[in-house]
Amino acid sequence: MRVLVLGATGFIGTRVVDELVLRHGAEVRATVRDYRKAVRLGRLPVEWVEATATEPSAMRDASRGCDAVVHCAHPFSSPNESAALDLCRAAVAAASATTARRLVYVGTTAIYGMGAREISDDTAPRPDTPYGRLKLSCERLLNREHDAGSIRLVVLRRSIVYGPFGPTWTVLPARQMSDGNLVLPLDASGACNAIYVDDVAQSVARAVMLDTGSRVAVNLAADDRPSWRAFYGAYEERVRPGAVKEWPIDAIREAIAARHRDRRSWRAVQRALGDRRVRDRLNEIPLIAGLNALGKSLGWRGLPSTELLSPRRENDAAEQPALVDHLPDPLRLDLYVRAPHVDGAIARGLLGVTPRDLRSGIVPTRGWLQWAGLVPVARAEARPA
Amino acid sequence: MIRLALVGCGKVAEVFHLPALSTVHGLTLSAVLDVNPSRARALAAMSGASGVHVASDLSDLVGRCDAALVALPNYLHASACIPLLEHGCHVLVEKPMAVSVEDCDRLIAAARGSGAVLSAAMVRRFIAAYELVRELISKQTFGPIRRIQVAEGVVYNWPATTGFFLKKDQAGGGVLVDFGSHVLDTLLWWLGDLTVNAYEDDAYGGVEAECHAQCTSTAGVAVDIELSRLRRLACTARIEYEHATVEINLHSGAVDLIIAGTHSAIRGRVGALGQAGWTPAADPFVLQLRAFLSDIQRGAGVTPTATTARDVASLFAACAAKRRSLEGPASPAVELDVVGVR
Repeated sequence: MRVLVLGATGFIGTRVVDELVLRHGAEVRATVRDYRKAVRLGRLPVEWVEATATEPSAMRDASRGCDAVVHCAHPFSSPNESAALDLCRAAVAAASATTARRLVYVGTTAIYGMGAREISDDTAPRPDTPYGRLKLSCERLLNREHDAGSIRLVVLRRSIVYGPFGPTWTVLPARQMSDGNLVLPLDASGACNAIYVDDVAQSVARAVMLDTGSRVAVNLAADDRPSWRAFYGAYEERVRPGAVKEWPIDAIREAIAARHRDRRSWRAVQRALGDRRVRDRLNEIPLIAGLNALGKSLGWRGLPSTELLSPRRENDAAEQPALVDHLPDPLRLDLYVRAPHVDGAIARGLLGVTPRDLRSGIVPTRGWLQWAGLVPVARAEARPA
Repeated sequence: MIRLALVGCGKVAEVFHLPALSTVHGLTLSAVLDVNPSRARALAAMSGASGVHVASDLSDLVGRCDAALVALPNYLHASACIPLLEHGCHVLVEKPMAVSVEDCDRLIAAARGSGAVLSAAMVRRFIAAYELVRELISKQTFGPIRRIQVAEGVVYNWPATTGFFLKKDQAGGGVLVDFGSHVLDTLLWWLGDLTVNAYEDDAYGGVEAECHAQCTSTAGVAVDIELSRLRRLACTARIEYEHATVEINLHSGAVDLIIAGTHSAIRGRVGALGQAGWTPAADPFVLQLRAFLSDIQRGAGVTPTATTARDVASLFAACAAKRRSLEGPASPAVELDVVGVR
């Protein structure tokens, strides 16, 4: 079997390729825009396609001789609807040129929005975020192409995907817990819907081989229904016990508002200029460097120094930096408070993949965090002198 | 004045070699060559030199240069350098000089045949701290060494203009060939010789992003090497003696001296101590070009970096012979029942 994978260098895409090549013995062609992001993928014998994934003619050439196409690309650099739809059109062009015309699209449960209490595959989409709306537009375009007979579509809607190399739900919380507190609303009742990356990848590989001409659109979810507190607690235990703080929701909203006010104040400018790296970068700009030099020649002290803004204390070097409170952004806050539970029973039956529960998925994730050095130094093994 | 051609106009040429070249008296840029002519023209313009010829192919360089700095993708090193050397053109070639011992031998034979200088760009030899460590080892300043641990890892972010480094047929290997060229050259320079006892990497038919080698020097020093393109490692060489440990930062050249049994370390920058007191070391890329010029002027022929490059290629082969799969939390095969390539 030969498969073209769009978005192969991403977090999910890389594991999809691992799964296809190593478990299923497939030959994979992978589109690549930036080789720097392809180091993990480069370990496998993939065939590289140096096409911008938005050129339909290039995509048709790229998929020639393939049996199926997997589309898990997302235009992160310019996340607008037009770029996302261009990617979908390219995926359609590629899939329509394959022998089976199979297109597996990695979608998202964000298309459902937060209105329902429980989400099944049949729940009517009502996206309430730009991301959800964008991904729904993509699905609708692909549905039309399926109905027109140009592709045979499988949509797998995933939710909170975590695991090794996961930027949003693994690396970010681990980093935040390392240098500060991850703030959650007290009694956050939203559903977490966490799914381990390998279970998404395995589902995608099974979907590639699915023997049906009907359109399939199913949700991927584990069955253990962890709370957000349990999800972050699984990291907290390894990264820094006590790093998850639960605040009343009004306190979080007030803190977010205060932070916004602060960022609009002169103090924010002072803080930025207090950073030597910022001053060095500013001094690289000839106009600013010139004005700075002129100012100094006239007796002004030039760009403020760190010492000027916050007088140095005797024991600064020995002090640990203060822990930062990492407040949720509005989207996360909404998820924590009212994300509906996603039911993935149909996908489990159809694809024969039972996503592992959080207790199982967190073990390799923690192992990877340790390997990646994302556990604070203080907790790593001390090296003998 | 030695006329130098720049063969291969990728990022390493732009970021390191070209700025260094502008400060070396006695070398002048006379020609540039790249598969992408606009890239060659851009580097010619960046150089600030006048009358730089944009060559169309290697034969177009004949008569237009006395020496060449070759910074092409790995698989082109031998095929580009051999005709240049045969024409008597002195060559400084980026690492790895060649990935196979056979190609190294062909390069060395071509240089010996014409008497041209052949040198491998092992720029770390020009970082003052590396020279200091070499002296500490050869003079046994702290007594015999018990163990050396080298760890070099960064999340790969080199802005390469092509993706050759991920293609096995073009790069010849992954992180072992890339970072390992420097690390193995350094260790051979410090210790004389190495035997590979064990080697593991995470390649599954492609090029490795992580590897781990255990070696022994002829003097019996255990050497442990860990390299990664996926994660940040210490980026140090840690040389353990009975009563002290010297740790060198592989990139910055900062050196720590740790006295056994204490929790303090002396950290410093290495410079030159002369009549004028301590002076910081010069840019290693500038020093490398000055050494190349000096090699040309004194007719050095095949330089020690080139002969060591052959030994490095031999170690690549030894690693391949001992290869086992490196399993770990970032392995592509983790938690998979592998039926595909191994």
